[in-house]
Amino acid sequence: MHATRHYITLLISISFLFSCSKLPEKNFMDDVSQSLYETNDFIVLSAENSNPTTTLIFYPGGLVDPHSYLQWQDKLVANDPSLQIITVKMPSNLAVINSSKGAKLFDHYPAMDRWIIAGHSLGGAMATNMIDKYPKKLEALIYLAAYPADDRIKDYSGSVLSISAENDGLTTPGDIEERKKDLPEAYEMNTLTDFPNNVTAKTLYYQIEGGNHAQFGNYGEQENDLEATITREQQQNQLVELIKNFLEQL
Amino acid sequence: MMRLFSIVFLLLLTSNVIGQNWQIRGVQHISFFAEGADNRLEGIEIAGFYNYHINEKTTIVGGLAWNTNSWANHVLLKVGTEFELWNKNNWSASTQLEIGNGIALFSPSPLYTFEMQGLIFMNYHTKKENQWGVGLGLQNIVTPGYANYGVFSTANLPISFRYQF
Repeated sequence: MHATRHYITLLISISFLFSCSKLPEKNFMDDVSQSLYETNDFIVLSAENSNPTTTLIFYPGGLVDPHSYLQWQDKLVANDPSLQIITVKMPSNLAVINSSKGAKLFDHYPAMDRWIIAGHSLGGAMATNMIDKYPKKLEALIYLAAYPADDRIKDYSGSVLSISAENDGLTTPGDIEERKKDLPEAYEMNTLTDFPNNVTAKTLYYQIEGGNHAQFGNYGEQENDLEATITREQQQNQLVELIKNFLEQL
Repeated sequence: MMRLFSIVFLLLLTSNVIGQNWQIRGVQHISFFAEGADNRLEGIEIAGFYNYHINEKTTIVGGLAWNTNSWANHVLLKVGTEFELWNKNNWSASTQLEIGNGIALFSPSPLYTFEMQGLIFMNYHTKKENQWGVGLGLQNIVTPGYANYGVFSTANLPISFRYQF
């Protein structure tokens, strides 16, 4: 069974190698107001003149250019000087090829107090592997329209925040519901501030009403996605607010 | 654009040339980040070349390559030259210099990509035209249009394995 799954993953990966990556809709680099530092491997974003104590590792969606998420990430770090976000550039823009790449950052920042990982879509699914390998190092996992492939992290003692969108045609509300059995104890959030007293060993679910899959980034529309009834900015403002509130609970 | 590459590839297949060589390259990258540096696999390249021997030591090569790096997958049309530096018994050493023009596979539209690569090969000849080779070299890939987004040029250390027939 495992071998079959590996072969299927390999075949999908090979077909993806000849696929095109989605570029950001426009040049967002001019809109980035915070401190940006980029290498061949990583995009590091933090507030100007800050000394971050928390790093959020971010895995982009499959075949999505990693700069596509900078707009909402910029707002998030502007609100929190203790936070830096490091987006990991993946080979062929596919996190499935090197899902442990984010672990290299642990050596680069040995004095960092807190590590969190997040990912969109395929990137979120692959971030699950990092939680599986480093459950003590990583205090929290944030899924953006994503879910795990199996129940490997069901007993994870950190916190999981699952943010989904009502009109997501790729990671549907039904998919999110079906995979709840593979994650720690579920807690449904009704508002952006509706947190339980203790967020550890729990999965907090929040659905953005009217949002869709592609509006978690700025790379245009996505095939098979549904039409959003809120703007991209409205969806991403909720995303920023929710992650900010979640980080305060840790 | 993909149709154009397919046509060129088919023309190469039907042309009257001397030999072919197929190469698989692991492209290493030295990355400097924060206080440390690490050496990692940047990507891979698969290339097929046709060879036209000008004389005993010099060969013109041309072909197609697919490769990947930290920003995209690329399809490139390559031309270059190979020059034999030394030979003894079944062994030879040669240098291959090549340039590639092609596209980075982005949507909604691909971006122009340019590549320069130079390798030194150590070859083992099983027959007169058949040989296995291992090469080391330098590679520079540039996607100028990607400068609007981020790092658009990278220098790497390719390690190439090839079979020529």
